[in-house]
Amino acid sequence: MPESKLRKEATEPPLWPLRIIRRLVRSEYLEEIEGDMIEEFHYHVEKYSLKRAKYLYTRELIKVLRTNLLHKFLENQKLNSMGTFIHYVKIAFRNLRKHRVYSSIKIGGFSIGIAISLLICLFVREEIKVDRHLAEKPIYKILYKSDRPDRAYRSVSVPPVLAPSLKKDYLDVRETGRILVFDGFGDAGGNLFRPADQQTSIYEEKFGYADQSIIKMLDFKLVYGDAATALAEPFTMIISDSKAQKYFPDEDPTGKVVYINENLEQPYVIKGVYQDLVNSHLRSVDFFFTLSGKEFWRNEQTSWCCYNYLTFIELEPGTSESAFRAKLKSIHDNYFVTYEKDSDPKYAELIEEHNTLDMQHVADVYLHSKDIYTFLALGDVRIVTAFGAIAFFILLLACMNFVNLTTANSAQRSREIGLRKAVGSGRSGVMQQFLIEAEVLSVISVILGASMAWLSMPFFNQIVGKTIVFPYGEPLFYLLLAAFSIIIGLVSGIYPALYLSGIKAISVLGGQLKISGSGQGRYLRSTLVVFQFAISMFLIIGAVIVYKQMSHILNRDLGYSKDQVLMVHGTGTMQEQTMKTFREELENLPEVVSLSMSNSLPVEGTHRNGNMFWKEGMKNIEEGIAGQFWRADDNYFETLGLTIQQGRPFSNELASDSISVVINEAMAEQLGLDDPVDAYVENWGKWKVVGVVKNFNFDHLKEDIRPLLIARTRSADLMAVKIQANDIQSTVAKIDRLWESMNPKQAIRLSFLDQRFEAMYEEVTRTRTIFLAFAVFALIVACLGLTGLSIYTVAVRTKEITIRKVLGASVQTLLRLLTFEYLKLVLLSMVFAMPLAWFVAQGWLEDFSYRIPQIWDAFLLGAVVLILVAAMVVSFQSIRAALSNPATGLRDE
Amino acid sequence: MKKTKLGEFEELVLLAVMALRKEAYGVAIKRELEERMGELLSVGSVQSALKRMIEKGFLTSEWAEAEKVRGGRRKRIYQVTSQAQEVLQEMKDIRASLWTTIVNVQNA
Repeated sequence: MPESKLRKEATEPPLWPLRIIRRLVRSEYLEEIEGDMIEEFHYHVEKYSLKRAKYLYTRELIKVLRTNLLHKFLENQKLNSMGTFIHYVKIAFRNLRKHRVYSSIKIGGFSIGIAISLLICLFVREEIKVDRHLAEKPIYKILYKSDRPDRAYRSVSVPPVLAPSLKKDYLDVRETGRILVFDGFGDAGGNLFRPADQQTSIYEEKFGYADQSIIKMLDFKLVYGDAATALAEPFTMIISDSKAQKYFPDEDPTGKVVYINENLEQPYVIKGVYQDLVNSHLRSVDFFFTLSGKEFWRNEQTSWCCYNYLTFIELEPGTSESAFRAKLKSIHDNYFVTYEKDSDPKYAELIEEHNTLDMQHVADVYLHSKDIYTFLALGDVRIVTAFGAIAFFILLLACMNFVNLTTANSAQRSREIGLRKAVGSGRSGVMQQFLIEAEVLSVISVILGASMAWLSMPFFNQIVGKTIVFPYGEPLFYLLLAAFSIIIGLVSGIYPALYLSGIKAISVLGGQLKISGSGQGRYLRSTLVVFQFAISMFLIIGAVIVYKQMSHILNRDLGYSKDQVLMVHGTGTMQEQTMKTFREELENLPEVVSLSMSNSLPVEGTHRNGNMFWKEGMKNIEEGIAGQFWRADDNYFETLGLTIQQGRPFSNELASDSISVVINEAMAEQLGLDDPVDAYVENWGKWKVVGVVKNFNFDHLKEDIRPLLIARTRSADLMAVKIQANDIQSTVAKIDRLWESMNPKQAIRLSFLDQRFEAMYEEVTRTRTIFLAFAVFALIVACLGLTGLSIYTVAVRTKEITIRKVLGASVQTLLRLLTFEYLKLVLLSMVFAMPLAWFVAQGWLEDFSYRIPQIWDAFLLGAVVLILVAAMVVSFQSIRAALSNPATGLRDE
Repeated sequence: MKKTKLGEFEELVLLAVMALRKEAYGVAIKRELEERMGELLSVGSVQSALKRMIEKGFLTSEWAEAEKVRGGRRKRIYQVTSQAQEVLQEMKDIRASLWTTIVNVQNA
């Protein structure tokens, strides 16, 4: 009967657990344990249920895993292979010790390479990680794009009203949010910050504005406060966790009242604390004011006139990116062209033809905003790619070195192999031996390299200006390292394993086989050497060019004098009368050469804007030129050491100078003013040019100098004070005291123009240092490789050298013989590296508008350095061999 | 007591073997302990303890007859050694004297 058969089968225990247990448990215990298990199974079927019985039965698989029940793996028949394995490892270590110098070169070079590429990889990972957590969400930043042939651009700034309009008018837009980080716009940028219950205001670098919706869209994690309402009400703000710790240690700051720039009339309330945005492109911003109810001027929020806001949109789930992208042009025309048609029909036509909206996924913002100015410190995918490539090449270099030295060295061991085979080792045995040896070495190197990376982490962080944490806690990291060491071990061991295991015992022991570095092995090694040096050469040339370009930028003629200029910030918070007295007192100090009030100085972080300018009467006829509109008092030119090339500076004393301005050469040139003095220039007003100032650099030195117009003002929030060079310390102290006597509530905020300048170029200086370091390491790794190879060659050819010497060869001849072989390879490597380096360098330099005039000297320098170092390394070994006493060489056998 | 340490579970296993006399084989010991301790044990843990105690010299064992319910496998009957009896007795005495002290202290 089929049914009873089924039942009978069903009450039998499953077989597979026993099969496994039989493999694990000692055979002498098996019968008893199996019996117990089966007996218990039947008992459990009766007592509980079949299911539970099966469960308990199968569970024994784990319960049985006790050392005293299991096979003793080292003592049964598997003992033999384990023993051989241990033997091979032992031999590997003995070999290591026997060839100490050689081994340390091999391991040293490899581990340096691993350490460097590991550090770089960690850096790259840190950069790639930014905003990755938003990668899956359909959140985009809106860009404004123009393809006008003379000035194509992409910009992040769009009008404030775009975001609400998109949400209202387009169903695929689920949510929108705006951020304002334009330094100097409203209170964005740096401000004085003071909690109401504390005494002194402290200057903080980075404030921004944000909509309530941003918190959820960009996934801010709130430590305190309600994410749904933190920025919902006017005059509220959220602050970063680290700033919360600074001002309100160990307490919940929500509900606290704070003053911005000592404005007691309009306090702000902290409504939330967000976790530091370490993985966001907004990480520099520590304070966000709400945009709710904020209007910077009348009707600002509802106007299409002015482009100041970063706008993020979130699409409805299921909306395809390309479908929405296709709509962007019509959205643009709908809003922007319609608006311009009323105010400036000509302009409307222009933008209808050329301009559109564009969008960028929020996860791409950090690395892919090279052509878009965002007012935030972002990463650069070019740097990341360059770093990645360098990491790869240095690693490749180190690996090739390792393989090369392993194969070279193993040829010396053919006699050992012969003997092994004679006493019964098979081919696979010898292969195993060499593979295991290579594994041992590569594991040691990887461990050493990882430790070196770990130790140099703080130093590396300092160089790259990051806070990268070594990934101790990540299992994947160890897994990768382990996999890497095994693979490299295999790669480096496979050639000697295959080649040497084929050696016939009789030929070696009979003395027929030559163990010189000839034949196949030599070609392989030569190829690898050429390749290695090509990479080194490439890296050195690259580094020299980067270094030169960076120095070139730093040494550019500024057109102004940045030394001994003190910047006094926040002068706008003083009463007008106090300000006047402060200024007079300062001017009376003998140490003060001159002082000037202006919000705009030629360093980052001071006021900038965008304006269109026309020649007189050309507005609405011609397209204007873009330029800066600054205000300063008449001491500005003297204080900053600017040169007036034509005309005169305006004067604060002359009432007739109220519309007199000074423009720079760039503006005169771009406006086509042949005789600029007394010409008129228009933007939103009309200005009379009284002087032309020689071009000076007020933007980043990488860029060309842009047009600039300076108009007259009397007061500003920023004061530049030129002081005498001697005893700067006491001058600063004097100014400090003076400030304190007049303005006791607020601490003075001073900075030096030249320090600001240096900070601005920290990135440039940093890139320079990093690339230099890379080049040096690339050279070291390559040289270690060459050293190893020449030690090997000399060792193999000792007998040849001594015989030549006995027969009368001079030291020079011997030197030439031993050195030329390698120098030839180095020269050959240059032939490969140079065109490639030239090609890449040209491409890289194209991005700089102000670049080094020629690069052939970098190639020359690279070549000379490489040849010299290689010659030194090789001849050091060769000289030793050539000078040695022939007797020692011949006595060898 | 000084020479060989006896774990709590091991002591219970030894006592169970003594209590079961001629019937002391793996499953019987396991069920005896399960009943008294009120928890489910595994064959693996009981067997491991038994083998450990054989190594320590507290138990001896010999094969008995095969049974159908065991899938035709033989049983192994365990017996405590005199050394084990000594150790067990010693443990019992130490405990008893400690308890007396505790009771005295509590009554005082």
